[in-house]
Amino acid sequence: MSSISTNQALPQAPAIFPTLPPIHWTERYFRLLWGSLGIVGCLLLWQIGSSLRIWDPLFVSSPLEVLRAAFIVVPSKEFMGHVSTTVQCLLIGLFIALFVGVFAGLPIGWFPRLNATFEPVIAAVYGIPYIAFLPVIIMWTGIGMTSRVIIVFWSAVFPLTINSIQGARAVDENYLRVGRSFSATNFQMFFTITLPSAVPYILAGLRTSIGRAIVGVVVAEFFMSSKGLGYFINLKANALDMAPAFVAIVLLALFGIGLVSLATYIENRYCNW
Amino acid sequence: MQSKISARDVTIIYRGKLDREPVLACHGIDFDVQERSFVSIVGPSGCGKTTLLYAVDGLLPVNGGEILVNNRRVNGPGTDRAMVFQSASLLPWTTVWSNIIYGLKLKGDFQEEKTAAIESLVDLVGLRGFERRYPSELSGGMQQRANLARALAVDPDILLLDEPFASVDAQTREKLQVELTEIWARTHKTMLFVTHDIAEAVFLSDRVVVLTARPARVREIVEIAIPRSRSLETKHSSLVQDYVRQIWSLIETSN
Repeated sequence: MSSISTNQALPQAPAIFPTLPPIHWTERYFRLLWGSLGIVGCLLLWQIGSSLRIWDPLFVSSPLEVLRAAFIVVPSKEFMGHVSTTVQCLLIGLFIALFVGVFAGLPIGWFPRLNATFEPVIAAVYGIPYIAFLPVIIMWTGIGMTSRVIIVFWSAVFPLTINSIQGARAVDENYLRVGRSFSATNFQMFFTITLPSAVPYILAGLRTSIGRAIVGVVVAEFFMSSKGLGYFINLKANALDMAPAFVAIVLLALFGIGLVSLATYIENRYCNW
Repeated sequence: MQSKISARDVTIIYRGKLDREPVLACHGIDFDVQERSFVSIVGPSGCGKTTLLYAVDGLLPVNGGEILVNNRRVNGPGTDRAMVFQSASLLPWTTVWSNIIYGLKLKGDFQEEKTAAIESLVDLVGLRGFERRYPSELSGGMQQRANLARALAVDPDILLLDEPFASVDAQTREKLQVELTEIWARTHKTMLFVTHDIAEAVFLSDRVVVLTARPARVREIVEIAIPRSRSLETKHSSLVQDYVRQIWSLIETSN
């Protein structure tokens, strides 16, 4: 007769764990891989189309032409002048928009009565395409750096303001109570609770604003400048000199990617909670 | 013994957002908390016990009667009191260490020589090695240890605790309850503790204030005559269970 023995030795646990299947690099980096493939594929189609004269290379140039033009155009002092004009205008406009957006938006989000007063106004003005103000701004400030900065500012300030408002409204009541319980002054409440809590919202607004500001700077330079990448694109395209125009366009795309990556970097570095 | 906190005929009308209807949260509440004693407030959920605790901290105004702390009328938050909030009240954008010294920083009272004192506090609540972590990297129990340390850091006379262990798992909760009695014994603070867990209230307290459903009134104040240096065995003893049953029936017959 068999009986159940309680002190029988347990079956020996395997000393070696089964090896986990390795992850292939094509799976680990599949986004990067397919993303690069997409970009390369588009460039290839563009090149083939131009080489086979499916479309007229006079009007659309080709990636190789653009690359060749880049080596000539980019190092030239004239082109660098255009780049620096655009970058200055872009950064000044964005910076003012960031400052105004945050320090107007946070109080508007914070005080319920201010919020009730200004939110409809902001929504209404945000709805107007800022290009509509172009002739008005020219009348105000003429054609020059000031008017272009105003356009960039105008194009960028709304996403920042609206996100700052949301950020201040979304501050968790729990954190505010902590500040009040420790007798924080209004000043301390703002800088230790409201502002840090709103930073992720502000950075999300900044990312939207960067794209809009780049559009703004180019539009402004089309109409009211004799300098800058917008002016340069207009000039070259009108002369049917497409390759340098595309060089400037690619550069604008790189600005956008660069600035958005910077915002994302700041977010990951300082808002990883 | 001296009375550290006194509520005299306290009425609180709670107003949420600007456009919400006011609610009568507490009505005609009287109780006292003796110096260095541990008092819990229990009552049906939503009855206004947290509101009452906020009023003692000065976060909410009293609409009738008065609350005295150290024989002075409460007009707002003060450094003689500190609050241990429910979960999710640590500032998530900064480290555990910065959270713990938050109150001191606000007072402009954090100098280098305070570091040692805070470090021993970190040891007291069992957070050594977690100082540079972010709150989201901590378990619920560890977060509440940090929450406790933040309140203790400003060295208040009175600690107000708002269901600090409500969202902690059952095993950790029992452990934290025992640790809290030890911290209470070592730091000589006066503690006012809000909970809906009656066994927790009985185990921790010298007295339990039983409130009715909203608007909250004092149903009864129960003296817990269980000798101190209580352990987990005490908590599961019939002595505690008898008190729990008594308080349960008080709450059930409160309407």
